[in-house]
Amino acid sequence: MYCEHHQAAYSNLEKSYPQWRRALGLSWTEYLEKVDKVSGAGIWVKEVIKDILSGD
Amino acid sequence: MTLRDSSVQYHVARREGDELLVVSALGHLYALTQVGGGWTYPVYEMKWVPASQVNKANTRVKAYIETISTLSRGVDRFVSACDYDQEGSLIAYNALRYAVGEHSLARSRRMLYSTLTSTDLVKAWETMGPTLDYPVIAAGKTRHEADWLFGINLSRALTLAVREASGAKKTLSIGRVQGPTLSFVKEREAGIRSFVPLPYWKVYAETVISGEAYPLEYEKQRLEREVNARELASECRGRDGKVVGVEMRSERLLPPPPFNLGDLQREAYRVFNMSPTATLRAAEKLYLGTYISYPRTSSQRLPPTLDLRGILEKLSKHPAYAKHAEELMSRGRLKPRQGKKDDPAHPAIHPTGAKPRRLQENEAKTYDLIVKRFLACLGEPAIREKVEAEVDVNGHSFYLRGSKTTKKGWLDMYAPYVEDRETTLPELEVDMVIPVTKLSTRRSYTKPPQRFNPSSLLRHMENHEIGTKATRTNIIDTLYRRGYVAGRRIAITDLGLRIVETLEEYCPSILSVEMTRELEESLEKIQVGKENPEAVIDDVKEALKPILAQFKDKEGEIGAAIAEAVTGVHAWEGAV
Repeated sequence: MYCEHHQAAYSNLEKSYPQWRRALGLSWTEYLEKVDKVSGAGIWVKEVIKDILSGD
Repeated sequence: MTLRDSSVQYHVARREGDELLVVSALGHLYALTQVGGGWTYPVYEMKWVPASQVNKANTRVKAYIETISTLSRGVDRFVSACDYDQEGSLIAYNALRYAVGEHSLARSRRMLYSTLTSTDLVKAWETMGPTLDYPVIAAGKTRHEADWLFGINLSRALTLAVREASGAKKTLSIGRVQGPTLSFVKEREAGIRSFVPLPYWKVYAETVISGEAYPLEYEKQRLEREVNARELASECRGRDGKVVGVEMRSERLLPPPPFNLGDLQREAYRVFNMSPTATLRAAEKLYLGTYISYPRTSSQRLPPTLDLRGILEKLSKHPAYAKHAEELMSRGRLKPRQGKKDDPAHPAIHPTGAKPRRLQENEAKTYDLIVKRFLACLGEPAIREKVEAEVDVNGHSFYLRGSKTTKKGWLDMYAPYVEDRETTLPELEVDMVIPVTKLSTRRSYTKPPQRFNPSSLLRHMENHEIGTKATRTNIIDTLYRRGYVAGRRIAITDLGLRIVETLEEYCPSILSVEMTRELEESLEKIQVGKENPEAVIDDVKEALKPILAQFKDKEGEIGAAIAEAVTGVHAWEGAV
């Protein structure tokens, strides 16, 4: 359960995944790891990624 | 003749047998305060008092009021000659009403002018109306009263909520324009923080013709899949291209309209990186020096009554502007490019032609920009020839693009403030074969929205029609001063964020663009005599009642939510 801001970041992650998969053929986890390394990714997005990956 | 009464200077002149006493104000000599005591809310009753009673640091006000009062004795008529806008009209009205007395109002008239040149002042004197400009005064007075009601009540509500919850003694503020403006910054920041970049691939290609390298632009700006980028590279690299079409067209670039205040502030930010506050300050100095017209204008238009030729004649005496001023004067008819925005009180900002002396750096830059924009708006359109050649490379379309300015027109007059990038292409013909000498693809990512800077935030406020040309700059400054935003690329601080989020939850109407825009519309109607000022103030009070009741009801929650951010005001990590 995320707060309003992190929920928005999570929704954006979900919405963007199909385009990343089409572009690079990545799995969900590979996608999260890639986004985490891109400098333009938002801080809330990175926090959500950290949370998801730590739960795997 | 210039005289002095205590510390205040005034001037004595004679005209047509009359003795004229000219005394200035010091901005607003009177300010609003609450009727009755107590630092609480709601507060709905207010009165005008000397500004020194509201702000103890405003010590010089008292001397100005006393001088105006003393000089008014035995005077048989009064003239309001403050700047022609709501603030100027209200300053003079309050000075007459309170420092001289109610009786003076029936014997008062208003001078209207847009420059401080002696020609314009004499004309304004000779053509002044029979009374004060009461609708403008009413609009200014209502704006102050409405802003006071919002400001005093909401700021006290916020401050007391935090004090109650934590004992913190920090004074917080929010107002009807501050709220939506802070909300813009917060929305932008939220967009940046929750941004997920998307990958794309860009194609970079080059050809060499007669020993010169030219960029070849691929038909698609972006490729969305890596595999497509790889395929394109393998199909085109090392191949020749064939020119399959050459298109030439002529483009007419119209001159820009003259500046209004917002345009001037944006342009000064673009070309000098000068803040809107610094530009306004410089423009006001230039106006007081009689070098330019009144800068707080919305107009992008120069009226037909303006003596363009007279201004050009004076500018032709300045070595820096002589060439273009003379060139324009040599033409039969002077027709400025007019913008869409108009202002009933003032024309677009323009030079008077008076030669400036001893300008500070920012003033000199601003003056040059204004003069060149004025000359440019009178200039002829520029003509640019554009060439676009389509090149087929193994079934993929690339383009060679070039442009050349064949007639400079106004571009010359606006130099060096115009961006004029040119690429001249060699002669190109259909079926001509050219080599692809370089081709690569590069992965990039979409970028998050950009943070506002003072100039773009000003434009955002203008686009949403909140605040006025006179107040927007101050609102942005207040957000910085209160510690709600920080940095030249404007980032919201923890405190700013907490305030917006708390208000969003408990009284979202404070952040609403609609509420403040409706009030602006009412003020405009008051100014043209189509709205009753008392009714507008009553509406403001009615709008505040439920908001303040909710605030009182939730004081504990609101205070607790904001309190922890009060102690540490810092911008979000990586924000500035």
